[in-house]
Amino acid sequence: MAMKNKNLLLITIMLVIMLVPSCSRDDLVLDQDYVTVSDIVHYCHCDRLISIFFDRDVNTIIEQCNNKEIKVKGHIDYNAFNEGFLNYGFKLNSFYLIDFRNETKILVCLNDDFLCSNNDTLVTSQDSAIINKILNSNETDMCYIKGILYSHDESIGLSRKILTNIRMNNEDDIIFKSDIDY
Amino acid sequence: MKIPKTILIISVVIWITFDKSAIYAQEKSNIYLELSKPLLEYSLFNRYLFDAGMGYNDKINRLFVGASLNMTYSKLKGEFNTQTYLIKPRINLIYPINISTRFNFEPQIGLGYSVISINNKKYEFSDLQQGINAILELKFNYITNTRFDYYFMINYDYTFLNKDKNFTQLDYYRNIHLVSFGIGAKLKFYGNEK
Repeated sequence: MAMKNKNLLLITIMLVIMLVPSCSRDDLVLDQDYVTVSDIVHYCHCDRLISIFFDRDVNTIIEQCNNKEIKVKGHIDYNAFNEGFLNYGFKLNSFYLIDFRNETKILVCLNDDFLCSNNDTLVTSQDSAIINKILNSNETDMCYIKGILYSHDESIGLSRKILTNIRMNNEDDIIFKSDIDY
Repeated sequence: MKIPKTILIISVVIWITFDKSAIYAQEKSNIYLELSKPLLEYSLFNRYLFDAGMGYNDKINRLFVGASLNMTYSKLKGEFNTQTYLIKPRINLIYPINISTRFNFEPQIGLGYSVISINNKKYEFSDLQQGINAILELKFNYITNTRFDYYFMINYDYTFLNKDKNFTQLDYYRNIHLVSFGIGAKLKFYGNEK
């Protein structure tokens, strides 16, 4: 009887382990319908949020997103936006788009060079129609962006991670709508 | 009028709890209340806080067949404050395996439906998603001399959401996997035989 019980327990544990998901092999059409920030981040990172030193699939994961056109929807992280805007003397070169359902974020760069952290690329609202558009939008508005993905791996401390940004530089590629279409 | 009613209710509860006349009788059915904490979670909405459930089981031959209703709650801690409720009605099948007079364990499978309500006040957002739900559960019961038994449980809870392109375009996020650990109490009802 004890042996039978042990077997049953083992089968249950095995089933749980088998059913826990591995990396998604979903196909995602990036430039057709507007996709959520969560979908993009999962698709482009494939949950490789920890060290990828020994990961053979890294290049394949990077290639499926890098330099691809993207249509993405989410909300502007206004707290981060306002903080950056004030800290850099009413200038910015990037902002975060967020999926508030789970707080997944993606960085959107406002120049062609993906230099989101370079002070030389900071622009004022007078120079950037995109910043102007964001300043005139409502916090509850859904933001729709067309851009180009930049996916790469980078050393962070002792580990390496896949990072993905969106590049955009045309004010027509960002629109706001008041209805939240999740 | 209120005080005698309260005394009556308390008396009934005490009588049910400490009535030992039925300990040699066979359990015919039970109702239970349980509370669990998700330990592992794979879903669009992370940070599940707890799951609360109640159910009724009836003995048919050696199996218990029953129905249950569970509610899982998640809330993001940060500034965005999105709340998610999963309401899960299920039909369950339980096969009790006795280890001793004091302990037994109960493997359980259940099948049902999940309705998920997502709300965010800041963004004036609410959404409903739904899909099929299944559970594999193992309960470790401590059998007492009273009508109440207590148990620990571990379960694997799976939901597969219906397709909604606005919600997600990835099948990955249509799957919700939860592994939870919890405790519960069961009130037993006996048959006529002693």
